[in-house]
Amino acid sequence: MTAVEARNEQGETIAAALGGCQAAWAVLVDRFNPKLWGVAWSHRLDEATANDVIQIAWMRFLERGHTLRDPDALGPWLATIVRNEARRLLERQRRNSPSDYEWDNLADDDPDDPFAVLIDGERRVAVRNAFKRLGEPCRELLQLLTVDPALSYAEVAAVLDKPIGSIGATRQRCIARLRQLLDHSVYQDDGDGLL
Amino acid sequence: MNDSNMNDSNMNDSNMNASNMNDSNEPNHSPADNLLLAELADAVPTPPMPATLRAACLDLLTWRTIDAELAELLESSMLTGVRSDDTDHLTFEAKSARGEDDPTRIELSLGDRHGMVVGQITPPAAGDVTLQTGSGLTAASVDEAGRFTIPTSLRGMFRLRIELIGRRPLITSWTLA
Repeated sequence: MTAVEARNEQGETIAAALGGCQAAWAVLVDRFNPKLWGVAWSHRLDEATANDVIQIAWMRFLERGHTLRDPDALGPWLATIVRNEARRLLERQRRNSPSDYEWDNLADDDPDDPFAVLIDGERRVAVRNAFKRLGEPCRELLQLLTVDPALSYAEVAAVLDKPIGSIGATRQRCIARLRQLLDHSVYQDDGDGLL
Repeated sequence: MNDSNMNDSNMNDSNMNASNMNDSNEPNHSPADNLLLAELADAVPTPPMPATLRAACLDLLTWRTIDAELAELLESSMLTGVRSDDTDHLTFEAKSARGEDDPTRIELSLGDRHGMVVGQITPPAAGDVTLQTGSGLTAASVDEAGRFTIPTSLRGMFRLRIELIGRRPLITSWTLA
């Protein structure tokens, strides 16, 4: 399918779904839910909250979808709602229990845990540890780029609130930084300078 | 279908250039970068979607009917960081309900501790309000000063339908409490 055909198809599917067609609705839900799930996960929402946030995005689509002029804008638009709601709820969670939702606390492995290495393999643990040492902007971008099926650059740009044209270069820079941290970890002990 | 897919991939193989910049699948990235990203996807995987999500989303289509003016979330104390206690404050606004210059506003306080939803509508008018959540409907009346109280604590998705005397019905955008 060409880009134009895909766009027309999506436009027709959107119109049918908003008109109440359950089959068209299912097509949209199945097309975007994995991406929206990835966006929710990149914010480290728990499962129940991620469920709520994704449903809210679809509810808003049902309310406002008729105002979308460009069918290609649907993905970025939904992704933006998920991001906004995720931020709003994370802010509240931090307020109510300040330490519970930090990224590092949710990471499931201890860099010094020999069992993690046994179970997961040295390389995976090294990649994970290098990833954890990246700055938050790079972590967020790379996490989004690992979502399968892949988010379009327009969707990634919408979530990060960055120009589309900057995503490719930032991707390159963040991966280079990850590689640097990974190479570094070969020569240094993993535990943040503890030998 | 196979034909067009094959053509697409042939094109991308032989023609890795900037024309694909908007397509995240085949932009001009080094194989080494792609490999490391694949390793990252394996080391820090996105967990699988819960099985219930699809069905829950498919069910949402039945909520689509809107016969009322939409009041959208304007601000939230969760976003602005303004807070006095455990209460969340939300403001909704329906721009076209009474003309652009005189929008109808609905201010909500969602108190955790007291289990109350307290609202104020401006400009005020009397009428009825119905709270809709995933688990059902709760009705209350709006007094002449535009105030209402719904004795329930909110968690999860909700919206309010507001019918004021002499005005078009309003419905707030679905929001997460």
